[in-house]
Order: sequence, then structure tokens, then C-alpha cells
Amino acid sequence: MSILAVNEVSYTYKSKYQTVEAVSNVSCTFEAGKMYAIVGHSGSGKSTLLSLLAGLDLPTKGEIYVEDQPMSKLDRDRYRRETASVVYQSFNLFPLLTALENVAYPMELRGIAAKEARKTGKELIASVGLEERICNQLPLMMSGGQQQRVAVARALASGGKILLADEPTGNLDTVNGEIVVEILKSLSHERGYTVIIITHDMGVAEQADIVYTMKDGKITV
Amino acid sequence: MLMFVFNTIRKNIVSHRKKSILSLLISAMIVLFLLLYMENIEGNENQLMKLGETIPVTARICNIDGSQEVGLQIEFEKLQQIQETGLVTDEVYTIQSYVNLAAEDPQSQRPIIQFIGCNTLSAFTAFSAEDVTYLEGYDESFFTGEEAACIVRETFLEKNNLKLGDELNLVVYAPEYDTSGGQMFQYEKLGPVKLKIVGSYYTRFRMASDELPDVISPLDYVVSAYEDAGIDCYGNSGRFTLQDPLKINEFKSKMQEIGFKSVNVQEGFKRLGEAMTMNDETFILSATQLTESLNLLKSFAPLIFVIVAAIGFIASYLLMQSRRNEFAIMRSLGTSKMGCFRIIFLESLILVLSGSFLGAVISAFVVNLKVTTMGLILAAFIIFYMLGTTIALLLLNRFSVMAILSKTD
Repeated sequence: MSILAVNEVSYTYKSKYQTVEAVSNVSCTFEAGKMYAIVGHSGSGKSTLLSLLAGLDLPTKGEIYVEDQPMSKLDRDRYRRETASVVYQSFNLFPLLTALENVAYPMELRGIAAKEARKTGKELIASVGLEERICNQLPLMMSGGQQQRVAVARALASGGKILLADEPTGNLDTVNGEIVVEILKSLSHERGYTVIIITHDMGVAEQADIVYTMKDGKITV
Repeated sequence: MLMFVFNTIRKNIVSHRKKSILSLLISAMIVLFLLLYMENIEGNENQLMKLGETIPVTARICNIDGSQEVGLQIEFEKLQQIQETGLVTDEVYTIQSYVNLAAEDPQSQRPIIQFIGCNTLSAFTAFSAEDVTYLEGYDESFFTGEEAACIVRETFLEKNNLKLGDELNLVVYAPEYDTSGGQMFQYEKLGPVKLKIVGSYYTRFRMASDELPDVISPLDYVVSAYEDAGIDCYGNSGRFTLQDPLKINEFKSKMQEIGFKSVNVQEGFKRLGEAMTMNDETFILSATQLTESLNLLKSFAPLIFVIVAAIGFIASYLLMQSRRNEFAIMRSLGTSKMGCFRIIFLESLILVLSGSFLGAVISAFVVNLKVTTMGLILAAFIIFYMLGTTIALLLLNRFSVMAILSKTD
């Protein structure tokens, strides 16, 4: 059973001078426990598709179903709080919060008590292979790899089973990139997450169970 | 959830402490400026309200050509009407009559002793309150009463071998006037009166002494003597101070209604007290200047609050602009657009309230305003500043999360 189903989705945005169909009549499905890669050149529409999958935008045509529920009928903020979370290329941690505060944030947002959120946060930081001393460090004091692993820990803190990653290795060296991909892979295969990675790195895409290729807003398997 | 919002705001304020302090100081400085501005307005208003005390406006009844302010024939009814307007204070009125000593009053002889009724000794310039010696238990306040008593001139006392406390038997005569207010040197007899001598006065001005009255009684007593005799009573002089000089126009209009005219030298001499002169030039000049200054300050007040809103907009926009990434992360993690706005709005509100409080505390050492005025200014500041801030935050809260977060460093 697919956890996410994209059904004939298009997304058009209008700028001052032109109208662009970034995603054009795309249909695909995503199942639990698998890692997907969406590859394509810059401007192929993959980041727009991720934005739609994350519920940050709504398709101008078609529908995305989350466990058979149309996304357009869902509380999309709640969807991002409880079901799907996103990891970005540039980590996007709160710069003035410590690693632990960053990881605890989505839990506190869901109403979990600060003390409990910190306890779980420490466990999540450990689960992505980071030492406890990292907990009290600000993002600027950490390496890129450490920041991205904290970002993954924060994504896990939402408690959802869908993890969307936009070029997660783009700002990392090879070693750290491999570590992050391994973590994402283990999340899908061992913990049942649906991991969807947007990448133009074929090395990363090769690790995925299923690869979708995007070109001019359209998708091919 | 409330705890989360509160904690997030606290963390934001602490984490962005430099921006928080700057925001707080901006609010404090604007509040200080507004309170100083309002103090200026309130100061001018107070000055205007108290201008009458600093520069009193006085009015005197005179004859039509303005040549005479005493020895007039003023209809007593008019004096009562002036009092009834409630617009005057410190009234000084006199009534002039003549008397003879009862023992020396042959019916045919013209009365030779001046007898004045007055409500205060300030009616006289040739002597002052210090020149009067009173019988024990009496002072100047007896002139405001109605007692059959009098003070007399010392020379009169000596000449008639009288002393304080003696009773003075007199026959009172009212001067008669012709229809144009001219004195006819004919007198109408009111009848005999008995007055207790409760004081005597001395004057150093020998030149004026012949014109001074020998006997002075309370105004109301003299009026009642006229009423008892059924003879019309006329005022001899009248002057007063305006209670509220800001009502000068209302006063002038009332005086016209009562029948007082402006001085007109071409009308020629008459004894009738039908005109009025006012000492209002300095007051009007000062009041005009103050009013103009006040109007200018007040006319700028709405503009100032528009500027406050603009400052709120610009300051918030500039201080929050660099935090757009933070807001995008919040949105990405599932904070609703409204929730995101609520957090940054409350954060701004807390800083503005703290800044206002700081400004008010500092201003307490600098300005002297009523608590209600201060409260109103603070409320207006918060409303207008937050209006600008709200617009800025609404604009800043409009963004594409992916567009911001997909940017690479």
C-alpha cells in the first residue's frame, strides 16, 4: 500500500513576465520502508515536487494522497508536524539554538513537555551517531556533516514516517555524504520510513530502491 | 501550546539580544519624545488656562466719552446683571450719597458731607487698608456685610468730637440727576440713619483729601437704605476682574446685552455710566501667541502618530528581515502561518511594551504629566507602533518556504 500517491499533479507558477509549469501531469507512488531518489537537472521541477510532497504548496491540478487522504483536505501544517519532515541541503537549523534545542523544537511544537522533548532529543542525536557533547553546541560550532545529522535527528523528532530530503549531501564531503545516506537508508529499511531524496548525485541515487527521473516537469521511472 | 509559544518568544528575545535591545531602545526613545511633546502641549494649555491669573483682565465702567470712571450715574440694576453673569470676580462698586449730621440738618440746607457705600476699600486710591484703624472685633470684611456701621475720616472724628464705638446720627440724601445723567445739585432725602463708628481712616494725600468721603459704609447697607426709602439707587463707580479671561468674547457680548457701549469720545461728556473700558490688550496678545503655538503643536500630533506607525513598520521590517530564514524553518517544521505570525507579533509586542515602560520610567524624571495623559500617550504609541509592526510582519510572513530553505550557502 502506498503511503504517498501523486495523481496527475501539475504545478504552475506565474511570475511577472511568464507562466511556468514546473511540474506537469506527474503521477507516482511512494511506499513505506523504501528509499526513493528523484533525479534531474536544475530546473527539472524536482524541488517543486518535493515542496508539494511536503505540503508547502498545493498542486494547481491533480491531487496528492497521504494514506489515501487527499492532501488538499488535510491540515498541511499538522501534516508537517506529525507525518512528514524535510531535510535540506543547507541544513537549516535554527542558528541561535543548540543542537538539542533544535531537535526538541518539533516535539515541543507538538505539545510534548520540554523535559521529555530534551530526553528524546538526546536519544535521537545519539541515534544518528553524534556524541552527547554536540547537544549543547550551536550549529556554527559544528561541521557540515554534524549539522546535517542533527537536521536528520530533528526530522525524526516529528514522529512521522515520511522523510523528504532536498539534496541532503550537496553541502557535504564524500565521507559525510556517505554517512548521511547510510542513515537515511537504514531509516527506510530498518525503521520503515518512506525516504524521498531529491538529488542530482547519481552516486546517491544508486543507493535508492526506486529512482524517478524528472525532465521538464515530467517524471519517468 | 501556550507554554511553547512563551518559551519560543523568550528564547527568541534572548538569542537575538542585540536586536531585542535595539527594538526596546527605539520604543523607549519614541515614548520619551512623545511624552515630551505632550508635556509641551499640556504646558501650553496650562499656561493658557492660568494666563488670567498672570495677566488679569479688568474692566471699568465709565461714561460714554471715557473721561470719567467715578462720580458716575450707573443704573444699579446693571451692576446686579453683571454679577449675575457669573463671569466676573473681585467686583468693586461704590454708591455716592450725601449726609448731614442729624443735629445740624435744617431742611433747606444742602448736604455737605460725602457718604459712600462700598464693598471693599480697594475702591479708594488715596488711602489703603493699612491706613484704617478699627474698633476691636472689626476689620475690612465688615464692608461685605450689611451692618449699620461706618468708618469715618480722622479729621471728621476730631472735628465732631467723636470716638470709635460712638453712634453717628445722620440724615441721608441721594443726589438727583437729569435725564442725560447730569447731576442737578438737587438732593432727595432718604431719611435719618444711625451708624456705629467702627473705624477711622487717615490719608496722607492732602491734595485729594477734599474729594474723599467723610463717612464710608458697607455697600449693601446703603443699598437697603435706598430700598427702604423707595428711591432709585445708582452706582458711583464699578470695576471688576474677569473670572475666566478666555471667555472674554462671551463677556463682551453679555455686556452689550446688558446695555454697555464702547467708549466714543465724539459723544461728548455725560455722567451716565453706560460704557466700559477693558484692560485686555496684553492678555489677548499673549493668549493669541499661546493659542497659535498650541494649535501648531496639536495639528502636528496626528502626523506624529503616522510617523510612529512608519517607524514601527521600518524598524520591525529591518530588524526582522534577516530572520526570514528562521520563520521559514518554523513553517517547514509545521508551525502554521498564523502561529508563526503570532510568535513574532507577540515577541515584538513584548519588546514594545518593555520599551514603552522604560521610556515612561525615564520620562518620569524629565517630564511632568498627568498619569491619565501619560497612559493615553502610551496606549496611542503602542497601537500606532504595533500597527506599523503588524504590516511589516504580515509582509515578512509572506514567502515561499522552499524558495528560502532550498537556497544553498
